[in-house]
Amino acid sequence: MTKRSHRKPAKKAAHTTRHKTVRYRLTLYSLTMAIGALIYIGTPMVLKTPPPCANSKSCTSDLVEKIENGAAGVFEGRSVVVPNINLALDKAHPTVLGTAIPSGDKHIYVDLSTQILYAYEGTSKIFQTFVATGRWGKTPTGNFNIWTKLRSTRMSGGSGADYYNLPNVPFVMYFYGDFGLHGAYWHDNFGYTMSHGCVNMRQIDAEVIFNWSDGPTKGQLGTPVSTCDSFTEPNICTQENPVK
Amino acid sequence: MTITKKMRIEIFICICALIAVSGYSVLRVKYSNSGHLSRVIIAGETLRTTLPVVTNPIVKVDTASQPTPDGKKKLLMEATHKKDTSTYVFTTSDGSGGNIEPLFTTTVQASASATEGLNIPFNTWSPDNKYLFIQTNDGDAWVFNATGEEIVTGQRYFDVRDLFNAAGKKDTYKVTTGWASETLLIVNTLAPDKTKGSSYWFEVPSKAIIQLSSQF
Repeated sequence: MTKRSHRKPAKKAAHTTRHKTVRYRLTLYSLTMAIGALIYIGTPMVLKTPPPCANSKSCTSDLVEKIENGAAGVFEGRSVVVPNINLALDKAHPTVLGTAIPSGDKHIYVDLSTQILYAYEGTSKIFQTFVATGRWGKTPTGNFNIWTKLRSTRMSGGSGADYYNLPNVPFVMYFYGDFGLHGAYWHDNFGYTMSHGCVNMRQIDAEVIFNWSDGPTKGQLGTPVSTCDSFTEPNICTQENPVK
Repeated sequence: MTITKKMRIEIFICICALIAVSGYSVLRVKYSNSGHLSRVIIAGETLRTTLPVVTNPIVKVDTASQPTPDGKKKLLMEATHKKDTSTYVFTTSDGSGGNIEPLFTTTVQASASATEGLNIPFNTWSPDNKYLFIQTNDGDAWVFNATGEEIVTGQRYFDVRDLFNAAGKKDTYKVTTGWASETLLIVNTLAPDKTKGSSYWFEVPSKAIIQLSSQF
């Protein structure tokens, strides 16, 4: 009797200890799994960097339509004559590419190696011209869609001798953050890199592409834009390290 | 509950697992941002090109024209090739082709046309349409006032290569690519060892030559 009365508390104590150990392990493993899952899911949110800016000063605040006639412009530390924009003089019925041939899906390719832009509609190449892409900032390679079209806006960025501040940049088609296709009135050196990451075109070429391309509409993405390290006609776009 | 040695080991293993997960997550984010080592080729069915478009900075045809970047003016060239000579006539017009004004006419020996023949480059016009340059087939650039008025006293044009080489730079003139601004031409050169040399700005009004830190 005496023996029995001594064994019961010991057995109970052992059972309690085992129970606590199991509960401890369950808690430890659960905590580890939960924290691990949190880290796995949360790290991209914490560390994910926003898209880079082509125009370091204007890319976060100035992606809106702006016409600033009479404003001063600066490029590479030199003053630039800024052309006035008179919307009343824009062609009421602009020439739109591709109307004389069977229509199809539109696609813009930019070959960074040759500095040539190609515009396709379906199976037909309808436009080709020289452009000027990133010299002071890299033009990202990838596959994008035009997310907004602006008749004119201000672009600014850089610092020191590289400072630029350009109002009335015409025919802007942003395709990745503030990287866009647009007209450039401050230089005429197309066929060579000459931008801070955007795709510069002659104003007459930018106007043609602007009138032809589509911005996003309800349920429809804007015209696709592929920037390629090299492009082989008709449609082979090679991209090293595309951002998208 | 007392923490035993076994428990300590378990805690240590869990912490190591968490560190490993953290490291993997950071690397995952880093490489997804940089698109590391990815390569994409877009290819579809063979496309049929119905409207071939050819634009080349050097337009080598008998008649050629190049609009200003804003489309308000045009430079036109008409080359007449005879047996022994080639005559080049350059005119300017407004964007629609009206108001044609003579700019420059010259004749070269047919035997020399490979180097002394003339063409209109893609980037011929200054951004403000006040100057333009025409190109010889061997890369020289002749700069004009767009109005056709003398640009240097007694001269309708000046020769960029002559002025560059006379400036005594260590690099040799190669080609003028275009305009960096309203008055600055961009000149590419060859280094003394015949590799790619520095690029220069050539300022039209002052004829100043400024070496650049980057190559165009």
